[in-house]
Amino acid sequence: MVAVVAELFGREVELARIRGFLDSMRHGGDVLMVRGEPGVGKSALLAAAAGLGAAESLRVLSANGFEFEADVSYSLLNQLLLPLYTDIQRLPPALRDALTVALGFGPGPAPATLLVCNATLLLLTTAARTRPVLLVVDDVQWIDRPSAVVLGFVARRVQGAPVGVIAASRTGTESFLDRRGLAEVTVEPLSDEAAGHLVDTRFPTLTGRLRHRLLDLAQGNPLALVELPGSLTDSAHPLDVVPLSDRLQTIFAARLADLPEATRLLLLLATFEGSGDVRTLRGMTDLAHLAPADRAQLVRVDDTSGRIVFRHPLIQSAIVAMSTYAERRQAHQAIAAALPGDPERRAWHLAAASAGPDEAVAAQLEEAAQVVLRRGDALAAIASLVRAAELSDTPQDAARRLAQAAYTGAEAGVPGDATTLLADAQAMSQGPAGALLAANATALLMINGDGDVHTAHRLLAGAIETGDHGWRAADPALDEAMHTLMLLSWFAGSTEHWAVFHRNMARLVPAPPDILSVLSRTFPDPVRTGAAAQPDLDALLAALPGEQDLNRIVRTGTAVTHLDRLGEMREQCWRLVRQGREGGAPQWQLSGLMHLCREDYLAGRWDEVEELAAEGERVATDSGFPFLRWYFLLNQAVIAAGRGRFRQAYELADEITHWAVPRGLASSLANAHLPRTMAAAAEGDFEAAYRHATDISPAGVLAPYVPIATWVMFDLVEAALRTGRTTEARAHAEAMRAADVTALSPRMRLIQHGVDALVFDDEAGERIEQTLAEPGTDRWLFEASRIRLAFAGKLRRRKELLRARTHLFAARTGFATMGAEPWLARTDAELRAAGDRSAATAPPPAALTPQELEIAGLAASGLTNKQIAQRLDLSPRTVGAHLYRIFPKLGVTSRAGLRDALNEI
Amino acid sequence: MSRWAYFLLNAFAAMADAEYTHPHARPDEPQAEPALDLGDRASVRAAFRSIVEREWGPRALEEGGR
Repeated sequence: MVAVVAELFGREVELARIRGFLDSMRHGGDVLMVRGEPGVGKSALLAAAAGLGAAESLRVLSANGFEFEADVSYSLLNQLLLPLYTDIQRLPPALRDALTVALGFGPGPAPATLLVCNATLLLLTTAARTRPVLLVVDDVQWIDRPSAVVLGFVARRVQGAPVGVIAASRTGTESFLDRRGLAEVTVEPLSDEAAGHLVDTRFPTLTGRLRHRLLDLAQGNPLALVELPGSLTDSAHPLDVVPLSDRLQTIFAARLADLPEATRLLLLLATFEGSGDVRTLRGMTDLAHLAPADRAQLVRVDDTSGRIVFRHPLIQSAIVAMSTYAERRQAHQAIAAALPGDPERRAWHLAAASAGPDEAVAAQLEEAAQVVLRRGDALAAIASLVRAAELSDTPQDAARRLAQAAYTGAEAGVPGDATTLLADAQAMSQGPAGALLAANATALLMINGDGDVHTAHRLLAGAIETGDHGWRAADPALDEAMHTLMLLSWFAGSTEHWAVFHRNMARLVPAPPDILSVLSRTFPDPVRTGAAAQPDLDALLAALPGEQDLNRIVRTGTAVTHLDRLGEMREQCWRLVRQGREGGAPQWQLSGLMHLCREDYLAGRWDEVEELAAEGERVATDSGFPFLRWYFLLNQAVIAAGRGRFRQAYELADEITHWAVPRGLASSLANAHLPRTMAAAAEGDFEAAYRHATDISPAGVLAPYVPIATWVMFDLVEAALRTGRTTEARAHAEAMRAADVTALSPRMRLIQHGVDALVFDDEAGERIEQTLAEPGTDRWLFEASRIRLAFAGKLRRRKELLRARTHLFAARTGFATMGAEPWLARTDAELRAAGDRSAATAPPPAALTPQELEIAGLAASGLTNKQIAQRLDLSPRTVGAHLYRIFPKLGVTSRAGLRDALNEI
Repeated sequence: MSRWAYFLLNAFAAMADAEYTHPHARPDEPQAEPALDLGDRASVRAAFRSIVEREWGPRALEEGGR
């Protein structure tokens, strides 16, 4: 018994009520009517009452109303009183005979109802003298009329005798039992919390979307919560209605049985149509047929939104289950015909109405898949493609569409689905495009899982080189495969892997597509081929403002990365991030975050790097892109190194290394040396800095296909000089000159001139000062400040103290802005060495970070926190927190004071 | 800057927030710009006192007050 009660979730209130009822009936009779929706748990509560009663030594008599016995007189009373048969024989003769005839135990003329009522009452009160009697009657809506009359009679006369009646009936149905004056308890659907608890206990493996869907569909109905999981699938099919188990079907279908056919068909249309929009449905059918469903409380019309709302989601399932195949097809055809302006939904309904393969519909679905994919809904796109495959005329088309679905899944981070689809696609005879897409999907799955990049590269390169695509550059499957091959070549990082990529690029006819062409020159080995691609890069950037295809924005960003032009597309990068934050495609959000992290780092917006890198790490982990996580760890590590959190920097670098080694990701391994180099240099351990920098690229050599080498050129030369390796420093500077890195970007020009100034003569010193004085140079805040600090050291050693101090003051502002504490301390020390007395005590001049500066400016201009938050895409709390730091930094006591303080900076 | 001066400026930042409303505050009352020397302990204490009085009312600092 304890077990029965223990299984009830969220019914504490009702159980307390039942306990109270049991207590009161034993001390003088009581009645309780339990009411509620089908499946809400009335029977479970009655069973609990019976169990509790039996445990307290009550005599429990139970009976159920049955739909098909409702016309059999006294059938319920027969069930209920059968255990008291012997006691009936001890009743006074008139009453005994009346009850015996009524219950069908003996022949005779039909007894007067009042005689049967009195006989039953006497029988029960007599029996209760030895042991209290509890009558438990379920499904009262189906009990026969004469039994209902007797039960009502007894219920109103149990006062004074230890007899209890507890009966359950459905809301929305009437019964012969007159409920007037009887105490009622209404059983409500389970609370969200109790429903969740029930699901977690009964189906502990059910998680995520499926669990959410179950809770959503069941709406707190415990029967649905228990029965639905058997038929629930993780489907993104937009027209799916969950099939009902027999028990659920019985409950929900019973309410539909009496509806006129026209009403039932209208509800079928409304179910498939999905939105319930009255105007749309009016075009398909006569809405007057809705009235019977409204009266039966199956639907209601929400006047404010103009929509038909089903009272319970499972009514829709019952409607579908009760329809015939022909009715369903007709409904889908009618809806498709009413949706000429909505090709996507139209395609779905046509597909649902298709009895067999239909290439025209399959093609429409395939187009619809592209549309939803551009919106970022990969799951819906996969569902469309799978259905398109089912409707395909030829196995080749089917395999190609399945492979496309698998690729979509792999790219969008749904590995489970993608793997299954891939197996299906491979089991079918494959056309060339299908094979390439399948190989592409497999390669992506491999690097996103535990596979090594060399195998993935070999597999994809093999599929590309043996494919029957005629090397047509316009072939979308080939284009996608080449992009993936480039990514794999980058990860693998070796000349051999890149040779395969370039060999295949050269085969494309008539020429590689624009972005792929630019990428192939700017991304793999920028110091050798990047500069020449500048004009093509200009064209890509010029086309960006009107660009709708987010994939092109992502790839353009990658193409401009090593030429330091991401700053020109910040707005587009934010667009990628925002669409993801608003529930869109995470892969594009991650790309936007990667681009912004890099751009922010170079421009000295280090607070923002830390925020975005944390976001990126979270999204990569949560959205099925673990292979992108390392990049965000790298950004966190680099900032930690620059800000003096050395231990964190080394630990993050080691985490990247441990992840990358088994996968053969040479580029990630090289990148992990960047934070190590930076941390060592910031600590002043130039021996270690030299070692880490030359792990990326040896001195005097610009290693091929190692773009990250451009990031440590200055570190390498500075560390070489600090450790007495003059020859190596000079060799590296010469190698940079020979490769003409100045042609890559203004930033690389700054670095070349900075290196020259350390290594070479006076002329180089004058040139770096000119470069530093050029407008825009300080945009590369960290590197410009580093160069100023190092160059000032050289000037100081030559006793040019005034000149040295000029650079040191600028460097100090730069480092303070970024919060680069160790560099700030080094700059102050250098300043003292250069004879500046103020450096010892003065706080850094208004050390606002760029974001703080921006917020302070906006607050000074009179904007509220909320307005600032909206403008900068932050939360008002974050804005408040920034101001919290800004006030003490500027020493101001009001927003008005901010303006004056800012003017003084 | 002393710890208390830092806290005081934090408090000013919170009060200057346009959305900030303490249930007892009277935001319509003009907020006097305090003449403040952050190096002077008495000045900092007086400024704290004026904030508390403005936000919670003069009774807040009275003996036995809230």
